[in-house]
Amino acid sequence: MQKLVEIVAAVSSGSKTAIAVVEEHLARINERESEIHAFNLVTSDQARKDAAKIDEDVKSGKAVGALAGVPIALKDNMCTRGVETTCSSKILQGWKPPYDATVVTKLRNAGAVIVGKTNLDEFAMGSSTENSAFGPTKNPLDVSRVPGGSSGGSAAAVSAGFAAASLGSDTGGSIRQPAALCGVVGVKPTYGAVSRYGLVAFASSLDQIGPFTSDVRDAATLLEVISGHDPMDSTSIPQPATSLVSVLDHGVKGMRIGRVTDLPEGCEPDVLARLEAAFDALRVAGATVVDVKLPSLQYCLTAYYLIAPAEASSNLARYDGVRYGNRVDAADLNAMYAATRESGFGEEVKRRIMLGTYALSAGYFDAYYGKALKVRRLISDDFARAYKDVDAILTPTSPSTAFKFGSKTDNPLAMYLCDVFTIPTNLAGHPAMSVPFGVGSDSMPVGIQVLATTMGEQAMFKVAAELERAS
Amino acid sequence: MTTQLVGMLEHFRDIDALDLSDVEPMTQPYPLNNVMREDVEAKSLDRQEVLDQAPAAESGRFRVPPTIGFDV
Amino acid sequence: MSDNAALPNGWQLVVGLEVHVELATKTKMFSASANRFGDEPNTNIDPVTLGLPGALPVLNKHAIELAMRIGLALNCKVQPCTFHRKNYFYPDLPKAYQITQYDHPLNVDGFLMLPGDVRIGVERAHLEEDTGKSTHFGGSSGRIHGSDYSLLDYNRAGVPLVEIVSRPDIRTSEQARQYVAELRSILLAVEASDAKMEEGSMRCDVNVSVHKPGTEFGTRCEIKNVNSIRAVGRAIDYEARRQVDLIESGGTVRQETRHWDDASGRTETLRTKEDADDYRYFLEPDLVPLVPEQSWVDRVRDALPVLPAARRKALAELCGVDKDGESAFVVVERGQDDYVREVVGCGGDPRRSVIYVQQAFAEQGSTPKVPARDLAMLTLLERDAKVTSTQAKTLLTDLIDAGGGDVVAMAAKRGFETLDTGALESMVDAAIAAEPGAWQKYCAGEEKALGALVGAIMKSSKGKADGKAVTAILQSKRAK
Repeated sequence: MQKLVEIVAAVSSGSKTAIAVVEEHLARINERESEIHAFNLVTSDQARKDAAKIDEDVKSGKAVGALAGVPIALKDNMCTRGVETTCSSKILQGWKPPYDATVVTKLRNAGAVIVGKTNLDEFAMGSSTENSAFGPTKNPLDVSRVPGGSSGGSAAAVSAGFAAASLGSDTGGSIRQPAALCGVVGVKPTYGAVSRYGLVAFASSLDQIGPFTSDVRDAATLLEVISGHDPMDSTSIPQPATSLVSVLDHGVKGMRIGRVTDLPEGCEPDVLARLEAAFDALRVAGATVVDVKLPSLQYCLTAYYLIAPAEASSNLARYDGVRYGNRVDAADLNAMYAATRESGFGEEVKRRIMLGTYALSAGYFDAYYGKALKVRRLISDDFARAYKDVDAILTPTSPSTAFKFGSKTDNPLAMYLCDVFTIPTNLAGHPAMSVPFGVGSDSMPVGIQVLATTMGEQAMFKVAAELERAS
Repeated sequence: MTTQLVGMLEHFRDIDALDLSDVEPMTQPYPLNNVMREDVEAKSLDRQEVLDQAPAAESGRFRVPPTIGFDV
Repeated sequence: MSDNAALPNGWQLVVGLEVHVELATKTKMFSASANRFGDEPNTNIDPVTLGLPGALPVLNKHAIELAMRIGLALNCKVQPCTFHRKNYFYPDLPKAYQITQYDHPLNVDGFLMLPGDVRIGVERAHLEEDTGKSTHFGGSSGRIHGSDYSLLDYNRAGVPLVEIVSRPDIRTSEQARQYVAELRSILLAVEASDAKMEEGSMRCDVNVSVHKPGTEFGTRCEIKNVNSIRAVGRAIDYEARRQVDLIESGGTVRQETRHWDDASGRTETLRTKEDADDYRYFLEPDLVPLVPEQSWVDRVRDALPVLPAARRKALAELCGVDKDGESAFVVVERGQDDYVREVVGCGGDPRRSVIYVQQAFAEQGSTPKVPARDLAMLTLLERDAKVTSTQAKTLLTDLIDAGGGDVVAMAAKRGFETLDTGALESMVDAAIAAEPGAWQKYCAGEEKALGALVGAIMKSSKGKADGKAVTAILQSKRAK
């Protein structure tokens, strides 16, 4: 399977056609998709048309973009004009947006070939893709196990070679955790680095779009294309995309890497062993490992599970059957709202909406949502202190390797614990990425998480590239 | 569902123990102010494309069942 | 027309007004769709307007400018501010939340002066977005209850609004009407809105309560659907009376929202949803704080026009009329005060200048066609008794019809000459001699006899005698 950068080089030079590339990927989809179910929708006809256009442009000497001919899959919570966008929910089944997300426009302008919309936990709420209304996605490395979530489909698509790269969204770990479980690279950029315009909102102050790729260079390339200021998003950082590819070979000599001494418990020993190995690898490459303390880490799960559902309860109120989506008819408006949302939303979505509504309600605001916002400040301050001393921090991405289907669905809290290492960076708005680094005792991949401070993507990618070289 | 929710809320009481009286809430991950746009018109979405996706439409408008009671 | 004298037993009225104003921007508050009244339904729409999944709001800079104009014109402090979500379900609210301002609004702590130097506090004037429009079909009354379905047009959804909240300083329905009228003039003067109540670009909600002086304010009711300045007065009068009657008959006023029915002249309870009150306000995470730079605020303040109250005061001082009187109001409302100033500048009699314009220039607009010096000349002719008041009125009409002209020549053409005092005196003496009976009655105190004498003089002078001057001469002769 070709890397993204190899495809671009081959297609833009004319040594391989975009059509040939897309056909290879469509063939792999054909072979295993019925087993894996990474996609809600495969857009093969349009993909072939788009590939043909790229080849025409190459032939006639026209300039092609930085992603020319690259087959890319998009998480099905990103608006694609005229193409069904469901968020893996019954309430949006059949809905075709009348506009493209900014990232989609950027991909198209760069010559990428969109092969389909991938499966997710409904409205991005979950850590295993078991909450999809259309059935789960299987981990391509072991189909009895989950691919992680919520961007399980996007991770699986890259892992199985269905796409050379994919985009996911990350609110509490929904890119990084599935990347770790599927053995691919997954990046959540600094909050505001990538436009959210056209990303169906889950938790507005936490959501970010990011890439899944098979290696670090591909991730850097893709992230450069989709990053940068967007005037359609008021929270978009007013700067152009950071240059990342250029730093990948710089190494980590002289860098200081943080090791969190008060990491929350619950991490499997084989995962912790890989983390130690990662620190060793960086030491060998010339970095210094420094102990750091993040005392507020233990409160992050609580803060997240108050802030995210609160914002989600408001963001999902628009699904009322009035203007779009599926409506359940009733004699009067209120009955219509109730019936539409009762049948359109799954259990986890309903659970979080209820939790969020409660956290915001009069009399409870200060105790729950208000307090959670203060915990957010605490973790942000903890990180600020740590980053005075280190350039990057390493943690495990996920407390365990990919778990079996159904093993955490009875206890929501157990599922929420999957995100214990990823959530803090969403709260702080920092970038973080997962890099595959060996396997666990069950031979399933282990991901190591590299964290950096706000706009610290260059440091993060330097470390990630080194880990990849050593893995 | 209610049992699970109550259980979760119990778990969340760990932050009750914290003294946060001196802590400022954090609402923005990246500090920005004054993001605005010029008052320049852009083309409207195509009405037909939008209404084609509506659950019910009539005379160029979205159609819904009646509300019981007056609007506030 | 009504005042507190209408409330019995010492009850006092307390009123606060919440006025929503649509801003005169080209585009909406948070997206670039057109802000236009009267277009075909759902033709000014975009992902933000429709609350589509993935849509994000971006602030309209001109809306902020206009909102600052309003705040500064109302003597508010402009401050750093934030936006909140107000969450509730209704089909005309596309996102199921309205973006508004909650604990940190743009403008705070202002005031507005009413005639008689009554000061009404303005608590805040903040930014928010308007809803779409629903039209209801099937019910016989045209209101929602019992109708079959509703149709929704989102052209208005997202139009920028400023909500102006007064303090409960208003004590009479007349003051309430004056407040709304003055606010409207200010909005027009700063060009922030076309403020047409009949089109909905200015909407009033009225909060009414009653109490006995020295006691706490009573429970208040909010009245909606008050669609004209006249309705503001009528609704307050009705509601105040309703509350007084209720309390005096042993009942208690329930805090509720009521609907003003202009046809029947009554307020009625709106049946509201059970938990409509908890809006679960929280800071809007898709927007960032607005911290207007001092230089921007200063620029807006410096660019404000002279406001109506200041213009009336200046006009009143120039012309010797009451600043709260009708002539000052009417002339400034029409934008004709600069013209009056010009007339005075040409030597015109100040008082007559403003009154002529008030009485005759209703159709002239803010740039009257009659050259200022011609009108000035007319005022002087009357002042100097060269023409009578009646003759002056006729000449005024002539001037307007002709769009100006030489008034002296016009007077001559009409055959208007006034008689000088000497000629008048001899005419009066002649009349006294001709009507000794009437003269005796008049001297004895019968004022009615005056009319006969004056009438005789007018007749013999063929209308050239100035009635006022003649009367004055007769009065002074009697006094001797």
